Amino acid sequence: MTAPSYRATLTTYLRPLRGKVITLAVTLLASIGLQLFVPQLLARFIDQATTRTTPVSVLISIGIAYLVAGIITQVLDAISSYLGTDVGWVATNRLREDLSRHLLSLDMGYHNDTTPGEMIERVDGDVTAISDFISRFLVRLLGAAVLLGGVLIVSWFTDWRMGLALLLYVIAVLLLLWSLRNLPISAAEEEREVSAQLYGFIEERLAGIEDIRSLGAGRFTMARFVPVMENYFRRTVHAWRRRVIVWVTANTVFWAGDALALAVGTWLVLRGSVTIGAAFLLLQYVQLVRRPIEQVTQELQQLQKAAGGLVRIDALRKLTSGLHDGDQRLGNGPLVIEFDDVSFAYEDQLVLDHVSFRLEAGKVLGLLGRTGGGKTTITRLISHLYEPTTGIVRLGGVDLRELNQASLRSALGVVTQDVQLFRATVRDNLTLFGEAGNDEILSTLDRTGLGEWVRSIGLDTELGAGGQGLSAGEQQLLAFARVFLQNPGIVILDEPSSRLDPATESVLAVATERLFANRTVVIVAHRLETVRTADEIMVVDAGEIVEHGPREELAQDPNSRYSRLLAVGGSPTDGLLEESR
Amino acid sequence: MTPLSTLGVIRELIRYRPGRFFFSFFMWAVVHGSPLLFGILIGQVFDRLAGDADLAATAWTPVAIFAAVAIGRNGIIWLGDRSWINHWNEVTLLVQRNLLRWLLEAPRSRVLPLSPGEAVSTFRDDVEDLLEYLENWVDMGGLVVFGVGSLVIMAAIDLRLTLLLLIPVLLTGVITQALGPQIRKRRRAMREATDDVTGFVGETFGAVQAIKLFRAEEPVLSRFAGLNDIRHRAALADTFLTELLRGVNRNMATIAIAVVLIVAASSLNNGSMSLGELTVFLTYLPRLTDYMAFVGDIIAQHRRTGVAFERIRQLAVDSTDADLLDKTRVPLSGLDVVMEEARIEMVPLIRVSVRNLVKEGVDFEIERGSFTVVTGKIGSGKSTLVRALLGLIPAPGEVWWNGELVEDRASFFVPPRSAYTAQVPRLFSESLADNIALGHRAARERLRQAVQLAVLDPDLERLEQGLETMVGARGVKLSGGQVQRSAAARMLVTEAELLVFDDLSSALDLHTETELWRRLFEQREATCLVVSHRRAALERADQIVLLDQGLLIGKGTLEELLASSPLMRDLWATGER
Repeated sequence: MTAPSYRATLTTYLRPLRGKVITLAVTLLASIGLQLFVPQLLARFIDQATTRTTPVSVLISIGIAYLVAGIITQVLDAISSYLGTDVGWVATNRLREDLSRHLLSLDMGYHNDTTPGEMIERVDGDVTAISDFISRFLVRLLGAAVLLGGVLIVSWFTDWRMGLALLLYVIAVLLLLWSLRNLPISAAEEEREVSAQLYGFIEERLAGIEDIRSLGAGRFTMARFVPVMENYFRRTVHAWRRRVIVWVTANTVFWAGDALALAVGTWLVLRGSVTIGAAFLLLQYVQLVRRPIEQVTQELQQLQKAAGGLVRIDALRKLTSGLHDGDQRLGNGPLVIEFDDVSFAYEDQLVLDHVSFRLEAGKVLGLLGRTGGGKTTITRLISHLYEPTTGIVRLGGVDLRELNQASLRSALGVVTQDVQLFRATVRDNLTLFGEAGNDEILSTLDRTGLGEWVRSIGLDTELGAGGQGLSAGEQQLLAFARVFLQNPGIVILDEPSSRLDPATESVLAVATERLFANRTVVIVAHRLETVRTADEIMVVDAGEIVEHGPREELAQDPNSRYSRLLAVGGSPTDGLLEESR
Repeated sequence: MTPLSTLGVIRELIRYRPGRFFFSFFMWAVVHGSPLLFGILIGQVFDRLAGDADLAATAWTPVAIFAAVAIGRNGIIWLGDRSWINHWNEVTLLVQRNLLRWLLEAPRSRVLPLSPGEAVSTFRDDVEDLLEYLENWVDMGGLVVFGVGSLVIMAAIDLRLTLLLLIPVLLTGVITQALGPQIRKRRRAMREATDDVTGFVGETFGAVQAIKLFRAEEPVLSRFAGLNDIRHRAALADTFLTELLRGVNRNMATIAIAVVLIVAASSLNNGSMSLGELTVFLTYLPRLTDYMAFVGDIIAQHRRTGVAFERIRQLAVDSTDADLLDKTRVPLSGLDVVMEEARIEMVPLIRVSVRNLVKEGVDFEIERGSFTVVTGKIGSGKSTLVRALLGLIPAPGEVWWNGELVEDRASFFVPPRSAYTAQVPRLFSESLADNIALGHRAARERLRQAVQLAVLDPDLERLEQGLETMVGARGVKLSGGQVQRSAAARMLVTEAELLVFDDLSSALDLHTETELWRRLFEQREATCLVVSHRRAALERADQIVLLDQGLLIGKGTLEELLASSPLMRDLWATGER
């Protein structure tokens, strides 16, 4: 990471906060100045008191000055810490939001290669490291460095030998602690790992408590817990001991510092070079530098982490979407779907091989075929989540690359197999945080037979993570409702492979019928029943269309794959259509 | 046994390995107490330096002692910590072991009162609270030594001044004690706000396809901004309180020192207080206010620990404190733990009779070798019925085994009497073989047979490592159907008399389910109790138990019920072929 790059990101996000940053710097410097000054007061008090000739009133006024200066120091310290936190969060929340916006604009090719966990790490982990960096680098590291420098300079002016002793001490301790810096980090990583194992074991067993109890496997499970406990104990103890080494070492050198200060002070007083008050000052200063020394070693590590984060974030911001955005718009109502010699390769692997077909407006197409045969790719090309490697996909006669993205999105509705849900209210999940009001939602859904169902759940009900609170069938209904609210001319339906209970099934059947009316529909089917109402059937295998035609014709042709599938009867998912999660 | 008080709980934890606890206790008493010496030694250095030349030359002696004590003290810290680390982790595991054992092995039916995720936080956080309080008691000796010692020494120098100093010192404790819970609350709010943000980022990028398809980028981002804002405010509140508390405590030390300077000014001037005595005050006061803040923390921790242990009790429903604090050593030495197979003296099943189970009038009988199907609409109580029968959930009613009343269904209905496959069966992150055998010392042959019966054999051919495949957390590496078939195999390997299946249809396709029934009846005589709404099961049933809203509204053969019950006709019509 080069310095200019640092500066660019930091200035972009810190410039709007200039006022706060300046206030922060001022309070910080004032607080440091006072921290240097307060021990001087004590030293002066001691010197004045030992002469025995100073009027009591002078001593008392030093005491009062000590009180006032001490309290102001604490207040300034607190203010700078508060401001630092504030600046850090304002700046990095903005960075988080910009980064998320940018990442959302990237194509699905990028997102399919990353897990949500990684995204959390980038958008939150790395950015938090930067936030810490801003709040700490500005407040703590710079503050600590200035304080250290101040202590060294002031003591040097008191007596150069005193300054030299402190300087050597600070350098030695910094080097020592810096050499131990990785111990606590590796210890913390190890702890996280073993505690994830321990609590993972417990959580998994508690989730399966009925399985274990009903199968009489309690004793067995407890026996299996033994090696887990043993491993946890051994490795946690090992990790903690490493941390203790660092802590005890730091503590030892700090106390050795006190002893050193006493020794140097004693020596200088005996030589007559400094006053007793100055010797006490040295002791105070040695104690004062403890915190900044610790902070410098800690914060330098933080600095490395933040640098890594900035590099990764810079790289992310340079990525661009591989999808075109044009300015042609689509009209309302059903549209023709056309594939003109379309091929699609993903990471050098050919997924679709010169596919051409045309689906007339308002027709329903049933798409059958083995998993990995290319069904899902076809639907993703239609919804412009991918672009073909060669060939053209047209909707309503317009090349997708020339289409305005927003116009495409409103013309196209998709029900995916796994319904993607948020930990939010039913309403937010239906509208994806859009602004549609309750009445609007319910009146639209009433027309599709889903209104009653949505009312029974309640628009304001909060869903748990991963759609907790809804059955698999209800999640499908919710996905349908989303599409109804959108009212698109083209619908792509990826049928769920798991079976739903009869009650949900019948609500879904009504909804499906309404959804198909006056729309162009592509169904990726896992059951033959689902495509029983389709106008056309297309069978895809190994990236090619192996069969495409009107459903009724295919059904009557005894040599067609579709009719053979029908003949197998009761178990349509055998072989050709087997889906696994 | 009456529930223990919080101190009683701590006493029991100390009794687990008292030797190690008290070793740490004495080590820390020395560590916390030794700063008393530092104050006196520093005082000596300055008194001697302030004296005449001869006396000043002897200042080296206290300096040397100071250095020796300071370094020796760190050796003691190191020793004390080593022993304490062992103790902390072992006691943590002790409580966790007892808790898990109770939940998995204790007799009688009960329901886990929390979700597994929440229960884990009791295992982790509430147990940690206990340990933190135990640690406070390790420190307690040292705190008392220093607190009393320093006050006595200071009072010997100037009693009036020391009494005056008690005010800021005690205030520190009071304020910390009052602000501590507030700070924890803010911390928790901060953690929750962070969880919300990271959770939302995870969900957003998990649902990126839906967001793109619905053009929901802007609303999603504005929600994200809202959550960020909440976290920003939580962070500020947290910083504010933390700084406030730190500021107050430091200011109390500053005030105390200022009081010393002002009050002692005249005593110093007239020589009734020496310079060394002044430095004793200056050295002790910051540490004394720190320790007082620590005591304030401990008082807050005492309350927190009471709450934490209460949560542990609530999780371990019906347990006594003796169960939770059982002091049997935690096996950590790497000894091979031999598991004895629980031996059950069993009378072979002839008939299971159910009377008034869950609700009045739910009566039926299961004959040896019969196939009973429990059916009804969604929410009619089918799962509840079979889980109540097996004692997995508490329920009124009686179950009789060969004419004898079953007293504790939970410990009675286990293999080899009965085995069960849940609607959503759970697998554990171990090998498939271990998941299926689940501790039953199954011969390879028996395992193979169970796999074959459960129609899992075609899946095994596709899995590269077959039975040795590690299935991942909760079995994520397997498909839903494979999980269900593995669970069926797990049940079949027990060779139990009564097999209970709770609805296989959510993950098994019709073909596989039919095949499973066919193989099962071909190869062995089984007694089955099955929850299902599928025709494949209904057609095979010797007896159907028809439920509606938890009530039994019909039982008999399919023909009988089709003839007599409109609900049955309805279910049959919509049932999957």
